[in-house]
Amino acid sequence: MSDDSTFLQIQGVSKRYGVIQALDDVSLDVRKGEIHAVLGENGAGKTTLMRIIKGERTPDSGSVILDGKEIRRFDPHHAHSLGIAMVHQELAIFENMTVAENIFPSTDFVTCGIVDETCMYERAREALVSFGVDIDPRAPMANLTLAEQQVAEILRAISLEKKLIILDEPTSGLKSKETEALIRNLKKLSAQGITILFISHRIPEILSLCDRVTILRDGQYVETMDVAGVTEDQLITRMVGRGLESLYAHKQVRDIDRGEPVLEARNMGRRRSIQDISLSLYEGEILGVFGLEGSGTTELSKAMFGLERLDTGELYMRGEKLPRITSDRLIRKRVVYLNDNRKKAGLFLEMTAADNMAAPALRKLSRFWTLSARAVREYTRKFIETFNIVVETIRSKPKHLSGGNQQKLMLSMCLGTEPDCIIVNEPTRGIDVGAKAEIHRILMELSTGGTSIVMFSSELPELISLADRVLVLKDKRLSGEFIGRDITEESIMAAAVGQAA
Amino acid sequence: MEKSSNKLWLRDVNWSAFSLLVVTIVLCVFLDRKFDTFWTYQNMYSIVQEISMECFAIFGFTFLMIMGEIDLSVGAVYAFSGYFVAYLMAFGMPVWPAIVCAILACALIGVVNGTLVVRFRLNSLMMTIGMMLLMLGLRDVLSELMGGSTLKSSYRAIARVEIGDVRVTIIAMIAIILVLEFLLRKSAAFKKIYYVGENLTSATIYGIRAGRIKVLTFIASSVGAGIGGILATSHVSAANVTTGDKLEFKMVTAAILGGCSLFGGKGSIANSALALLFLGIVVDGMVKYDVEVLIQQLVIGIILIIAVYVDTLMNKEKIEY
Repeated sequence: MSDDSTFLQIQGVSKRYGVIQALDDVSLDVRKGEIHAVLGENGAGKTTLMRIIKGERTPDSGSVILDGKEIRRFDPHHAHSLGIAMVHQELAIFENMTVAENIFPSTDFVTCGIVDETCMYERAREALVSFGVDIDPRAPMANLTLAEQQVAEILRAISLEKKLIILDEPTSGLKSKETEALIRNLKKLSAQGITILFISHRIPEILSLCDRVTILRDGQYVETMDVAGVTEDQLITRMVGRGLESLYAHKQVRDIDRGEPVLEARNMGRRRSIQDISLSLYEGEILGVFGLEGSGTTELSKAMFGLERLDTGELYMRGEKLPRITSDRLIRKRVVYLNDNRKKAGLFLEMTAADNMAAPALRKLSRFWTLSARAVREYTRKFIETFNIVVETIRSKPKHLSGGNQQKLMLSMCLGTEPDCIIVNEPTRGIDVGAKAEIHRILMELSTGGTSIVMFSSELPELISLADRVLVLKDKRLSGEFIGRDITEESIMAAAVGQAA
Repeated sequence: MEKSSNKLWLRDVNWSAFSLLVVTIVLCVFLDRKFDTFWTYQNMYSIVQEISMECFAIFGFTFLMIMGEIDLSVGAVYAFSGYFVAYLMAFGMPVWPAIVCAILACALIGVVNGTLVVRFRLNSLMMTIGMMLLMLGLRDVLSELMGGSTLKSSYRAIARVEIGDVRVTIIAMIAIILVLEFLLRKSAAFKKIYYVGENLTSATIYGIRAGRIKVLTFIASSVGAGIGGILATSHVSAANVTTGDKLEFKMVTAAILGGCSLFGGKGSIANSALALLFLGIVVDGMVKYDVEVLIQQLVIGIILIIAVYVDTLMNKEKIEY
């Protein structure tokens, strides 16, 4: 339902962070009432561009013209008053307030300084119903699941009188039913003449929802296309600048000697998160672990590395029981852990790349208890070369790197200790296709070389193309195990939602 | 794939340390112009000697701030330790055993602080404020018991030991600063302090035993403050309540001026010590200008607020996360 009048005009916008050129002379037009997707690999500049439109960042040059008027003040409140709303990738919620208060956080329904609560809760209930979710608007936000919180946050952006809504990867935590409801609601809004900018990695969503799509690559504008008549392959080719063939290697069934396990967990249990889980990992095997949100996979991965305390359970390394499960003990036994949320932990964002690399290998890199600067330098350079990590110098900080490069750096940190066994957690979450393929290749090579890998992942294609064996968790318990050719999307999903016996 | 760049050395300069050094030099030049008595050996010596005892407390304090923790009990421990030595000696204990006992008592305080913060996840700010009140109470009890008797001469001699006309406290201070600064920059063990301060969970993931390091540092902080207090009390003729008074606030001010951050991950021993010297010079300058003691307090307060403001500005991104 788009008409041809241009609503938002970006003209020659550039933005530099230190030496990283996040946006380089980007121009694009967005029409009134259209749903316009912005597509690009991580680090392509999508989020930076959205933040400039929302007034959270000031561009170095170029202009943003909204409804014929140039925006001169880059300030989120100003943008708010112009009718621009944004849902960020990371949730921004008030945990201790109710759902309704989260949906309407500002000065709505206020007369004489008093909030009309009845009206607010009624409106919130309507909004939630229109989304097809069963959430009590009076419930505290903290009691909701991640997906429900995300719904509330999206409702906050779309409920108020807005002219432009920016959604930065809104569906990353949503289940398919909620995604469908979101798409339905967005279409309704666009029919009312509200313009929507939509960032997503999920190309099928873009194809089913959006009118036009703009592709960015390395901070530069590539092309804007009408979605009608475009195929997924065409979009990926433009996004990465290469074809799709190399993306998913065909998995062949490998011979794994399942005699003595390298790592064995027995009866792991923790109140309210995991119950009586046992698993074994064999040499050179990639063991996938899958579970829907809330099934206990995250907790299990943390507990296996001693990052979360257990009520029951034991861990055996090559048949030898560990007296206590703590991360430093496991590292000495050559087990390492790749964290799922690299922003929160796993990297030292404010320290140099070299310092990051040195962290797990301090003993190896020091002589007479002093850290050898040369050894650290050479060691870091070696990994930067091997894994193709794009950094300015080894003194750059990880916070300036793109998601894919951060992930590769984090993986290098783990591999630097030459582990026998790696616990990886969402190894490719939120990174671009190119980096994803590289990480998959690295993991395959490691396992061929005899390293054992437990891979916790919520991405089925990833598990299917990499894992030799997949365990499925449902409701905090093991609900299925699949080997070789039995690993299919259907079988895993069935075990995860509980249709299988 | 490393890209080359020539301008990077600019980024490596520690700007907070550099600007503090410039400000200190400017202040010295200014005071030298105004007062003939400022830039003399005697005056400088007395400023340095004054801070040489307090400096013992800043080492562990700085390490804790790098790890994102704080120890506000340093002032009270500083006050307590001197009293404790005097009290033990009043029972006839010789001076050295009394000092060893006092240091052990301080170590115990550090163990309690560290264990409660690490094991039971108490907020270190509140925990050490509690410990501060507790130690001040103990000090008052000791003070009551002793009733203002003067210190034994064997104790009073300690801070007055000189090596070639220079007080041993000054020599010890300089030696410790050099050794700790070297260790902090080069040693793998001390590097862990920065890792823990930058990101506790990341440090744990990579096998750094953060809890143990924190407990050890709390012990170092209390022991350092204890030694400083023992020396400071030895320096005066009778244990009195002004020793260590508001020292914890001076420590916070100096540490933050020296580039420590309330958000952890930053700081160095040499810079904290430099900031302590800067504060000493500011106070000396105010004394020379006949500024009232009450107003002096005000100036120190303003310096702390400015330092915290600058810290917040420089760590803006970290807060936004």
